[in-house]
Amino acid sequence: MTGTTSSLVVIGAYLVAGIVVAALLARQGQAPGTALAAVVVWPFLLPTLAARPATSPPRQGPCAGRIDRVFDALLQTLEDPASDEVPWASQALALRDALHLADARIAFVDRVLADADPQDEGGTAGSLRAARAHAAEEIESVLVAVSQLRLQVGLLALAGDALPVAAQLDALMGRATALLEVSEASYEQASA
Amino acid sequence: MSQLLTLVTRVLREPRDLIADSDTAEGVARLALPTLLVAAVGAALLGAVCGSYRGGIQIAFAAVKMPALFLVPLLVALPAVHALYAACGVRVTWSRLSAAALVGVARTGVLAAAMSPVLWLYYSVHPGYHRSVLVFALAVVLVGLPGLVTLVRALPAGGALRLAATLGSILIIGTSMAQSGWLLRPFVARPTVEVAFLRPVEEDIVSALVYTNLSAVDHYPGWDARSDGAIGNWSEE
Repeated sequence: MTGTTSSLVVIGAYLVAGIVVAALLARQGQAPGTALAAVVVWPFLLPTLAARPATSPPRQGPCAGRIDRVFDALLQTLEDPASDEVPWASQALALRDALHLADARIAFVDRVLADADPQDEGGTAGSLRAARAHAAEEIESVLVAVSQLRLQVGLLALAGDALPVAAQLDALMGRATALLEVSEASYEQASA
Repeated sequence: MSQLLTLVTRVLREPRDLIADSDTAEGVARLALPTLLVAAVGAALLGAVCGSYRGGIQIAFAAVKMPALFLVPLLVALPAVHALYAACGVRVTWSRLSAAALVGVARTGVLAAAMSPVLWLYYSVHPGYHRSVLVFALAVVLVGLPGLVTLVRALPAGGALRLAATLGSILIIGTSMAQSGWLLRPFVARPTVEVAFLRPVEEDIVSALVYTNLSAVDHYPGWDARSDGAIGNWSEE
């Protein structure tokens, strides 16, 4: 086989692979432009082929956006080189996840209450509304505390005393956990 | 059209943000076609200008081959770069590497389009063939380096041997690009020979550049393209 022939075979094999990937991407529902690009740069688009399309959007609660904003700001502060002494990014992420979980449960309660009689102030529906209001207030309160925590990280960078920040994070995590437990008790009560 | 212009602006002004916004499988899928278009159009412009040294069909030949010169090295070398970074303790996802490569090649395409008038101006004063080849090689290096730097700087920090991985990556991609250019030649066709889309495979880029450099200063050592070795053999005739 001459050099030119083997070059043509390699180029042909590459293009055939590209056409196969493009066909699979088109079948997966990707945009025609993406499938077209795959003929040329199919190695870049293999992860797209492997990624499964989301079957349903993630369940989010009414405070999801605010939770993300507050924690994005905190994590940005923790990632700053000046705050190298603060090793609690993972704890902050755990706290964010706990709040999202509590928030998603509020969304669930909202869906349940949508079918309930709005005039029913007492009984199960009333208890559920009260529990929902308490949970929403508590989430807001924890978010305010997280914002203050960000300022404490700044103080830590100057004073070097890490204990107050650690204690504050532990306390907030405790409140978030308690919030989940309260929510669970409310659901049990509602479903009884 | 406005989306393409926005992309060009971001590719030039905030490539790192663009990569960060597109480093998922969906992001790469979104980015693939527009970046390819920008890169192909920019590269084709530079190729057409390069082919204009000889004129005629060579303008089209060079315009078709130039986008391949920018893309082939990345496609060939990127898996090696990925493996090199992993071996050096830098964790980088394939999606991020792909997004960085696409933005890098688009940046190179934009710069190639910007370089075209400069090269055209130079060719308009009718320089010698060997000087034209060297200036073309220099132009490709000048437009390729920012793209390469974009790619490397977009990779995550950390890893004890990151510097080694970065230097190794630049070496791998740079060598791949140089050798691809050699295999896809001629871009600046010699005025005295018949135009061909591709020349037969012979020797390598290093020996060719050394010979061209000598020829540019009117020293013709009688280079033997068929010989072995990185620098080839030449003898005074």
